[in-house]
Amino acid sequence: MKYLRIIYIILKNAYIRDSKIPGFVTTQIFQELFSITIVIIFFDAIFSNVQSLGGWNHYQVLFLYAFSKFLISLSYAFTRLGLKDFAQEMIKRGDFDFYLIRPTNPMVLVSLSRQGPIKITSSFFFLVLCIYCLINIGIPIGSSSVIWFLILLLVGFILFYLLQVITVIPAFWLIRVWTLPNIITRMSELMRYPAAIFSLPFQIILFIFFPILTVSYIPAQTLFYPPDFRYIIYMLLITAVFYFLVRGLWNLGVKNYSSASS
Amino acid sequence: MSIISAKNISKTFTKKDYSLFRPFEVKKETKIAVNDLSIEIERGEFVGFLGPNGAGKTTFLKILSGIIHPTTGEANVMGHTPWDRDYDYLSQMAIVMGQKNQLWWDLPAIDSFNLLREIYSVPDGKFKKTLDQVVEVMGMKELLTKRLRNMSLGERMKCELAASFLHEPKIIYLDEPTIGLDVVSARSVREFLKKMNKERNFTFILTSHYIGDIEELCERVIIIDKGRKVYDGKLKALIEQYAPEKRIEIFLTNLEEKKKFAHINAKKKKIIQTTGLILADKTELGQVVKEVFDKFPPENISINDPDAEEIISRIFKGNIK
Repeated sequence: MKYLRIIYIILKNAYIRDSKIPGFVTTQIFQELFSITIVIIFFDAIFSNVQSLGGWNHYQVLFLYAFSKFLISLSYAFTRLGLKDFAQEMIKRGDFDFYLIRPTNPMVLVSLSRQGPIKITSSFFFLVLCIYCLINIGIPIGSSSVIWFLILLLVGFILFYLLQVITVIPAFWLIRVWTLPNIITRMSELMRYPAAIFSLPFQIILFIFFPILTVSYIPAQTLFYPPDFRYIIYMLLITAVFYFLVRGLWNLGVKNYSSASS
Repeated sequence: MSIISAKNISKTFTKKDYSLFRPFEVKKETKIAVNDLSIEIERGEFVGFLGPNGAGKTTFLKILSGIIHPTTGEANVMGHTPWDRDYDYLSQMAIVMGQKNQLWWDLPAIDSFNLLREIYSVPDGKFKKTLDQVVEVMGMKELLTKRLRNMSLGERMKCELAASFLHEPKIIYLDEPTIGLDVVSARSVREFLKKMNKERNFTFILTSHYIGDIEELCERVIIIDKGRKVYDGKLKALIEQYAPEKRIEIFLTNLEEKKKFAHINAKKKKIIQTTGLILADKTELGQVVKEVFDKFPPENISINDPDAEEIISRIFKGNIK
């Protein structure tokens, strides 16, 4: 509840700030709708030439795209901007000091410190696109698949958050590395494709070492096909592993933190 | 029992330089910021930390507030090790840094305060009562709805201080709280701190370059230089120990008075333009004062303690041992 109230206050003010910039909200929404349209045209062009991509049909692939963008937009709305600021400014300026002295989890507080409310609107558009794809997909979807999908969606969001954190943790040691937040931006572009299009070595990397494909692909696959518990258990396990890994590395970073001189 | 107890705290910063062409050759540069520092502070004390730039004052405050880990040493603050950062400890302390903002830049002050209320889980009634008190003492009602980015430095500092007191901390670390403030703002900040210390018995540790802050607020001072403690005691005792003389100044209106001044029986005396200056130690003070008042009109005489700033600067320069 405490964190929800913190989110509410920051989100409210971020919205007030954004809406004061003339045209900001409208142009952001227009830009998002425009980019969705372009992607729909792009997928239409591809699927007018091929029947499937990695064994997935047109609407399955479009669903995977919309679903991954839904997760990315939510992360931009709530956690990504704070983590970006952490990697680029907070450590360098020593502002991280004030997150360490609060009786809350500093990692969560840093993540929530800056929010992009407009991205909630974007995530809504992608949600609508997901529903549109499901209506047109032509595959019967069972209720157990839907339940498991929703559970894995939540797990996927947590795993995606942990991956975002792990990419900015080096900022504790590499104080002036501006490009750190770009790693997750680039990697998250891979979330939109079916796993089978990648060669085996890349699949191993993207499912195990930096499990960005796990975030979107396993929940989507669970929705379209009868739940495979090997995948579900794997996703839960890898999320747990990354939770402990991130927590350990973060604590190590905090111990190493030397603040900035005044 | 001491509220703050730190024993043999040291902090060393190591800067590592890597070369692209010699990847296995790492150049290390080590700097000792705090060196074997031990202090004990009682509840309700207002302690001044003095030292030149780079002496280790801020680093020590950051260690006590749990922001950074010491290299060696131990500390117990209200029964907690600060760098363990348990929530019980963090809820009972605050740190104000004059050169950094802890409030959210984009938010109006009241929203920042509300955010802190959530973070510290302060009950609504208690929050409102404390906020009303702080707003009244600081005279900052009109600032509540103003965004931090639109405030002057003095206004911002008032808000920073107010924010630090909302959860009623028992210990407040103040790092240069009056830096860059105009005289009026600095005075109102000092008044506020004095009031909080007297009425609420909060414990304060203050670092400041302005001796005026220290003289007005702190009975006890700790002087550190190159990370080491060089003095720990009453400010008054420091002045008596390092500069036991009184400073007697006489306005000399004409040549006749200058001649009279030359005949005064004092060990250290000199004339600077129209002012006769005598530095009289305890042994000769009574006799010198009597002689001065016999020879000059009282309205032209002033007797003062030596300037604390000058004494401290002399300590740092090594002129007094």
